[in-house]
Amino acid sequence: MRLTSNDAATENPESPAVELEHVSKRFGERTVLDDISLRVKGGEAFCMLGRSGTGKSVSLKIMIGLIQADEGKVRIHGNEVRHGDTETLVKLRKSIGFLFQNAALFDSISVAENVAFPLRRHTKKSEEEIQEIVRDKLKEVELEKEGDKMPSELSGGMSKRAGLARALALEPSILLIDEPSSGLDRITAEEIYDLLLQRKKSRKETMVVVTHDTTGVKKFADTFAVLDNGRLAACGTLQELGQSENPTVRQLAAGSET
Amino acid sequence: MRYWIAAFFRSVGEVGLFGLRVIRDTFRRPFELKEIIRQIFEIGWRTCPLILVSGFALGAVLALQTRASMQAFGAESMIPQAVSYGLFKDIGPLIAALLVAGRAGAGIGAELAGMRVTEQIDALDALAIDSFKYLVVTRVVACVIAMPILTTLLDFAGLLGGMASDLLALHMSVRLFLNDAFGTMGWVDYIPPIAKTVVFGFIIGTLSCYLGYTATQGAAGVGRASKRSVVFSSLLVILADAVLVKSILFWYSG
Repeated sequence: MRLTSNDAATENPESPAVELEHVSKRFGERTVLDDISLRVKGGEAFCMLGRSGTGKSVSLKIMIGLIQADEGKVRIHGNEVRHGDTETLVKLRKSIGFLFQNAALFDSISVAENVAFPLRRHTKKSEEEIQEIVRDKLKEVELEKEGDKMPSELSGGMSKRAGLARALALEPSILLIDEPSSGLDRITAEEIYDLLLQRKKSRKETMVVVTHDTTGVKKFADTFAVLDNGRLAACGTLQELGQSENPTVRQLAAGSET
Repeated sequence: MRYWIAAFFRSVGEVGLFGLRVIRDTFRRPFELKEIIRQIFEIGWRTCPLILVSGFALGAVLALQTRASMQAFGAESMIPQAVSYGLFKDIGPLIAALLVAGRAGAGIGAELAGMRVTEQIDALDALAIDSFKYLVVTRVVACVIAMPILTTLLDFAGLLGGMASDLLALHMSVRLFLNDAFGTMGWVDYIPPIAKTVVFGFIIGTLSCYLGYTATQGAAGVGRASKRSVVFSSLLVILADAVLVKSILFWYSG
């Protein structure tokens, strides 16, 4: 069934929040994702584990339609992500927040302007309302005093938090997070994980996190999946992954990167 | 060799499709007027000093160089005409386009490539903003609008340079210089060359945006995009000028 733009992004409570069905992706000769199927329930914190270069970030970008899968289907709240249908894609993306590995803040505008940017584009809120939301979001990520700074003036951890504030600006129902702890020291990484944990407790939004850092995501993730050589090697709780016959799965579940 | 030929034609095809997408998306909502105005300021206003100084120097040099030849035939009074014709009809549009390719084209290529390799373009798309419309279409439209304005500025700055040169060397009056410069010139000498710069603007904008928007391979990719934007834009502008001059001569030969 082809979606019309009106029913796109409408949340079907019976559908999984995110669903990949037999998704494959190749770059040239290299198969990055090979027949991946998974379902993330609404309100669930889902973590995809895997070594570097196993296609974790690619799978996130496929979920939001930044990369097109060669085969298979992607659904957000039951609505299929189709690349030709820009209007539907735009509506779906408004319901998703994406935190990039390196935050990807717009470097020509201030931190506060980065957070205000999606609000200015997609809402009809007054300037006062936008400024209030920006203050709230920056306070939530503990950057209320850094709003006037330019992204180049922020540390790695601060950039990540600013990126999170921007991703949360439109109050998305799904949050996609790419390597929340990459390039950060353990203490700063823990701060990011604590923020996500607080968010999960207070808002109950769906989270899909990709990482190789099991230690940090243990705090808040409900379900874990392991990608190995482009295939879904295991899916379940951390205890279930720990009993897998696959040594990579066991090692990742135990929290040591292979 | 076959690989290079295939790669060349693939690139030509990709740029062609990129340009067609720019034309199609220019007339589709949202029109991004605020961003277009900002880009006209960035591309146009910031290139103004370079255009004005270069134009003035160009006009002065043109007057100086034609003076020797004109004096040999006792035709010094023709210098204003030679300067105005030379600037408005021949070299003005081309020099303006080459300056814009060097100043704005390189900037566009580097800026978009930087945004691509730092995932800022992906971030725009993830925020449900059409990055192609927001970044590419706005810059190409700004180049198309800015080029005729910048060319006109260069033409007049050149005329001023030529006039300064003549006033100092020949003690010619301002009124006489302007009378001679514009005496035999009509709109037909101004409009077609200026219309030509719209095409130059499209070429510079499209090529620079293509090279930046599709950049890969980190910091090296940013440098490459910037360099190639200048080289290919300049090359294509010169080739297009040859074709357009031929067309103008054909249409206005009578």
